[in-house]
Amino acid sequence: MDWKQVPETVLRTDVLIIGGGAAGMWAAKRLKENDPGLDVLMVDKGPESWGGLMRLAGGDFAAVLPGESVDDWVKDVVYYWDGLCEQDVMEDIFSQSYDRLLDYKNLGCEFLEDENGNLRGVPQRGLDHCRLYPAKLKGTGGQNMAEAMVKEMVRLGVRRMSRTLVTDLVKDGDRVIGAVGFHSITGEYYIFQARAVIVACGNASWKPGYNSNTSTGEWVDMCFQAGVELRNFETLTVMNAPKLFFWEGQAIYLALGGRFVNALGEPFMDKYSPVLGANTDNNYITRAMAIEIRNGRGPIYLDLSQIKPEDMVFVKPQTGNQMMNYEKLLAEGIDFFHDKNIEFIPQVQLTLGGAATAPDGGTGVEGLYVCGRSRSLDYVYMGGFGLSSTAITGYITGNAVADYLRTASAGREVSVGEAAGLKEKLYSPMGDAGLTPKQVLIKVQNLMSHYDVCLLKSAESLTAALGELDRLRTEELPRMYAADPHYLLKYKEVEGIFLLTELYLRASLLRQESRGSHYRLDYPKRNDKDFLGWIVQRQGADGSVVQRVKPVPLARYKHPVDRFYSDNFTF
Amino acid sequence: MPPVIDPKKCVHCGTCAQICCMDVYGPAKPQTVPQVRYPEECWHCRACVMDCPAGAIELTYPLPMMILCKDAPARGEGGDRP
Repeated sequence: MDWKQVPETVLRTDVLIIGGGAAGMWAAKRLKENDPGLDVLMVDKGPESWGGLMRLAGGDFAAVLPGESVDDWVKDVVYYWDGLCEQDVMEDIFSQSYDRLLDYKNLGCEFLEDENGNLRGVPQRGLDHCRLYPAKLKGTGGQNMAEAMVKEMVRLGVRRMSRTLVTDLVKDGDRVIGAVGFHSITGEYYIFQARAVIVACGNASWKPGYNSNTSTGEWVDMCFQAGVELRNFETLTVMNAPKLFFWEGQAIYLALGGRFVNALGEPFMDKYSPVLGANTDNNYITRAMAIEIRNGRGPIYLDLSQIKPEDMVFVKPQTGNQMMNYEKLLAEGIDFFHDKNIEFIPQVQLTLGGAATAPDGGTGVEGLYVCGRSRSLDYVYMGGFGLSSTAITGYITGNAVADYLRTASAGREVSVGEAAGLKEKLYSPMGDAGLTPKQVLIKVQNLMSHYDVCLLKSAESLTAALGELDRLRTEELPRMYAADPHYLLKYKEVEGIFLLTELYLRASLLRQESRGSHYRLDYPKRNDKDFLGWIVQRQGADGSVVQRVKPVPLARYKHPVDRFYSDNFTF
Repeated sequence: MPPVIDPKKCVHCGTCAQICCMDVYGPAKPQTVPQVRYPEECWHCRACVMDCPAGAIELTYPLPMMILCKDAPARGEGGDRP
């Protein structure tokens, strides 16, 4: 088949939503609720009606309940994120959190409640106020939410396309006018003509496991090329993971008395943080794990013996994927909750980097909005914030785009020439010889997985990794090919992962201090004078990464930045 | 290991091919046992195992299948660090 001859379809819509997960569905819902006459087209690279990675979430939801103080929550995250918190934005987000929890309840999603019907919350990471509220059935909370939202899409008449990857945004000057993409099974080329575009694609990851292997970096590349400002790419979520199988939900165990111990049986977090001990964020734990292992005190095990029997309801899976996982391990002779010899190691998952947007999700590009996990808000991940932030920012952005379209003038259409140029570029990797996307991906994953790149960074290790990335980009990326449209999708994922790796390494080099999950061996202290700000990156005129530190506007914020979560640790 | 479909149990509904988030099966054809077209792309989420109405799919866990962190060998000791 000659890929230049693949069929083309032009699709016209008011709003193109890229990503069919929680944030995209919330945006679509609000668009249709604001104006049922709007045509909303939601495009997802995954299967039909799957609802994105929300389906694989446990169901924990972070929300400020009535009677609680939003200010207390904002103060908690200012502290937890070492000051890098947009205080006014987070105040607005937290103040809408309970409404979204109620929305989910009204859609039939149940949360864990006590005998009096009160939500049962779990405090986390040693924070005073922020809590997460688990789904009633541990294991299928996210699945129930996904199914409820898909039903909403059907009810509201949102048009949806699956197995379709949007690859490029098309602009007219500083305004987005559409996008192009392709079907990953048929290879058909699509030209989307849209009055507004919402990017709602999830976090950018290095394909760590089934819980985020689809959420990669194509959208980062797409936004970068379109001139969107990005930030927080020096952050990583490095989880603690069993060495031999996949397991998730460790954060809640730590909140209830679980702890990691080294080969000597020592609960080593007590040493690195006498104040917080074991119940802290995973990024600090995995940093300590790396130091313990380096110093010959590995391997590391998870000790659940301190969890009270009555709290096991929060811990043991009851249904769904987690239950299947548990039973499968039992069948193989592994009892996750009783075996003492399950080895844990650090695992790179994803970056919290994403678009730096206006409060409503607007980018500097007219008509282009970003919501959900693709919009970077949190500097260190907090349990339950995935499900709540996707609902809340999707809701906010859906409203904002409906408002925008009330007064937006009609833009021009994507021209035949623009579409043809992008088409030629898109299908250029089609071929039958060279390196497969997976062969190249493994090399980038390998580069990222070293302790001195992901956990214990230094100018030397980061510069060396950047050199290796450049080598891969020069020597291996040009040899990568796609045998069919299925592999073209993988090709685009790996291409995106190259960019996010570069953004990660460059931002990590610029931040010559330690803050949140970012830890520099050569700059182990925080430096508020130079770095109490976000590292913002964008594409320069020559296509390279241009970056700067954008200071936190302390003068216009309500709360002082005088407490820092990282001060609880000595490494 | 990639999914294995028992052709005796398969009812040819195509659900597995339709729901796989990695498109491991390729497109489903009517009234045929789906083909495992991209076996190396399977990430073992087991959505197909769970949703198969006939219980026809077997999936065996591989050993490590994720990005796992490791320490860098010291430079000059034959490590793979640049």
